[in-house]
Amino acid sequence: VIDRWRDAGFEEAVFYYPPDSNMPDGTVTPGVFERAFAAP
Amino acid sequence: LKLGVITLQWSPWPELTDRWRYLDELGVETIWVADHLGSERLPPGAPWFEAWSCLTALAYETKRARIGPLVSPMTYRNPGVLARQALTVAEISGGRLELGIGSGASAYDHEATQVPEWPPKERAAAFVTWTERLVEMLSFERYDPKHDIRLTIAGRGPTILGLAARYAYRWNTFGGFGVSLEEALESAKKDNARLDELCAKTGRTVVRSTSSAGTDSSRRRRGPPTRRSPR
Repeated sequence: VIDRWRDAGFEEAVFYYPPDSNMPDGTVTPGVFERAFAAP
Repeated sequence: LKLGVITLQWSPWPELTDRWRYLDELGVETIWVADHLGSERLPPGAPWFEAWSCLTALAYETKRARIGPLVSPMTYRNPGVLARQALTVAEISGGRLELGIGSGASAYDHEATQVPEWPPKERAAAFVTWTERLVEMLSFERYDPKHDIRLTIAGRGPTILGLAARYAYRWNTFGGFGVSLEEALESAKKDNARLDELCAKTGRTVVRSTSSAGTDSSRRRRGPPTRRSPR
């Protein structure tokens, strides 16, 4: 998902933290926050 | 892609400050708070802390991350007061403030402050005047500003993009309410292209930021405004 936003021309992604806060049930990709920070 | 985080201020205070320190140490680029007066989705019994008070604390609790409101709304922020708040937190944080602004569309905030909602065209026009006043006040000589404060302008539509091209360091979008990832990306690409055109005219570059990357299906669609009382 992050790669697709990058490909769309975006330079920054802002996540809610904790990731599921303020988001409707089921709309957050599980582990997306940790994976994003783990990526080189 | 640079990564930022928005932390909602509805956790107990010790938990919230622990969270800020953790995120700062983790290396997030930006830590944001929501500048609303509450939320319809606030869990029963949960606290809600005011944004600029949080930013003062955030300035003390963190050492590296840039901090700011995502976003301070026109609804109840007087631009002269907001400029003074921003300059104050910029100084406290050692110049780490990012000032996010938006035209505001929270029914909760309008209800709490008894500020009548604007019809969309009036809201857009008012936001232009409000933003121009804020920009003026951020460099108001009698405020003796010590920091150049970067603006983040959030939202969609030609007025918002036009303001971003003129004044913003960063433009933030969520891609749209109630849409799929594909639809969000498609509309964001169009807005990005439009912003490119506008930036070509103003001769500026604007960082593109999304707050939708953590979601991959439709977000809740906002209901109609509860009141429409033109100013």
